[in-house]
Amino acid sequence: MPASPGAGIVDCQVVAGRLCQAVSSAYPLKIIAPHAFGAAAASSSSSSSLPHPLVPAACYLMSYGGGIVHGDRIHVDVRAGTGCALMLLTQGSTKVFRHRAGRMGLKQRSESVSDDQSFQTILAHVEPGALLCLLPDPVTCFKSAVYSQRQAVTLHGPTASVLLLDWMTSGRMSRGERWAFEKYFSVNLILNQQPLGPDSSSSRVVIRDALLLEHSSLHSLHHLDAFALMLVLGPAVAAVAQVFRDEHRAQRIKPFRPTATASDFEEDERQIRWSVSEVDEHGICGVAVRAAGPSTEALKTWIKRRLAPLKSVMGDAAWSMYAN
Amino acid sequence: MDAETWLLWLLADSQLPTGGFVASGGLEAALQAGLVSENAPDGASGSLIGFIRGSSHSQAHFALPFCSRVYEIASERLEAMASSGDDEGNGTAALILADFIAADSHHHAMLSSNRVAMRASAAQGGGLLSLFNRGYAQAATMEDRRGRVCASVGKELQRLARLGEAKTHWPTVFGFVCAALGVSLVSTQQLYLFQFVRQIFSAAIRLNLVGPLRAQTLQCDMHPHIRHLLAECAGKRVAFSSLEDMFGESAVYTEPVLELYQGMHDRLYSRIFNS
Repeated sequence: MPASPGAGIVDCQVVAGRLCQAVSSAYPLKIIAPHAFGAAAASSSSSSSLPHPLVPAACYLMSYGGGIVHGDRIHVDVRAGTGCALMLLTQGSTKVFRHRAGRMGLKQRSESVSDDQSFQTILAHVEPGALLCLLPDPVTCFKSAVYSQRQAVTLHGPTASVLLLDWMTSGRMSRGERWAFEKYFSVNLILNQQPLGPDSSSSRVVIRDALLLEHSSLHSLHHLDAFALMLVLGPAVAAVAQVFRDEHRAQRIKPFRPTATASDFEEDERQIRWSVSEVDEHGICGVAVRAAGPSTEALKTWIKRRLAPLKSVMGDAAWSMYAN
Repeated sequence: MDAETWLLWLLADSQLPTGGFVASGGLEAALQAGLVSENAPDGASGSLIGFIRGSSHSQAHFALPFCSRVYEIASERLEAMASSGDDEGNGTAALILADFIAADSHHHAMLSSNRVAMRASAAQGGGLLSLFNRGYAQAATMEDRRGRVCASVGKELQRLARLGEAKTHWPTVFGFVCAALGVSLVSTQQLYLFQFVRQIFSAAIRLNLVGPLRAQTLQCDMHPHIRHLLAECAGKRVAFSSLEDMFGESAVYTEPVLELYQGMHDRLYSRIFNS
């Protein structure tokens, strides 16, 4: 078991065509890995464009209390081994509760002021030929919440793939809390690790996307309630990247209509604003997608529809855990 | 009149040939997509002022720390050379070059998920570098050892950029050029934000979002906002030597919707700017 509170490990490898999954977590983090599907699920998918079907795996990252409390430090080390397609999911949005100045959570005492914050850190390694899908529900920061999320995905060469979804909402909209949190910081790193020799390797940062939203300086978000960044990189998710690319190419910017009059759901989905940027750096290819919408549900539906090609990569059983 | 003032007036000139007039910093896409409208009341999130406040806020938190950092390391290396035995300055040039490329490639990583902004930044940085090499580096004031070292760094950077081994982005080149010319750090930072704001106002005029006289009024009133941003960000230096640095808040975007709209730029029906 990991020693420190909030630490977890997800280690997936494929050995002789079978999934070997080592999962552990320490309070207040809980990681659950359902063993509902095996290699057969993926091999049954005839439409997969990959030479060898990937062995699917899925884990739920959860926390006791249903969210992140002031002072929590979640730290998850992830490895997706060659031949494996690992999905990391959550059950419901990650709620970040209000920040209570001067109070420490969970015996994680420290002197520094910056340590007085809630963190979630994911350090992931994706080996050659593997796929990692980070598909959480959005982060919802409550009023006065202070939250930092740090994710680093190291791709071991250009055959490693990642689909990273990082998204957030304006807050507890049902309570009228919109953009009422104190601070939201999210940084996503994509690193490319190339072997130099038998014992050494070099990793370089391919993408660094760092977003800081502070209560005092929210300029243009007022008419939106959900914002998503997606990084779709590598051969295993090329079909998903192509969906975005094609739709982007066909798109022509039309005049914007204010969202206040949007009542029904279809109307909501038409109001998703999105754009696609090509990524091609040091052999890491794919797209970066940014999307914003007036409601979380509309954005979720918008995203899910476009991720549909993943079904043939993950296999029906594993995919249904995300797309149910 | 002192030399720095003279230089600053040259660098602040709207005729400065760095290709700034091809960039709107996302304003053209934002206008066409409806984020910014002519009729929104000043200061509202959908107004030109709201857009400029937001985008300059993001620029000050994301790009200025790169500019300041490159300025500082280049200046420190040049100072150290003055008191060292590096007579030819080759060692100093190599150090400045390495520092520059490290900062510049990190800046590149911050733009690699935003192709439109990356293209604009590289084009303008390349333009400024070329102006330095073919213009300022030829000036009589650059004939001392310090000037020759800077000129050799500039030339080498341009060579590496042609080979694709360096990117020469706008904030990093800006920091280097100002350090090379001996402009003070404070003036460099002020000039950086001034040029950013002026560029967007000039784009707004050409997009017919605001008239030239009204633009002067609005630009005049931007001063408190920029002063506030400088107070907040002038001390920030981008840090990227460790994972903790990369996870840190030394250089951050603060306007996610702006990036989204920049990404739409290439999908506009018709456009006059390239970003």
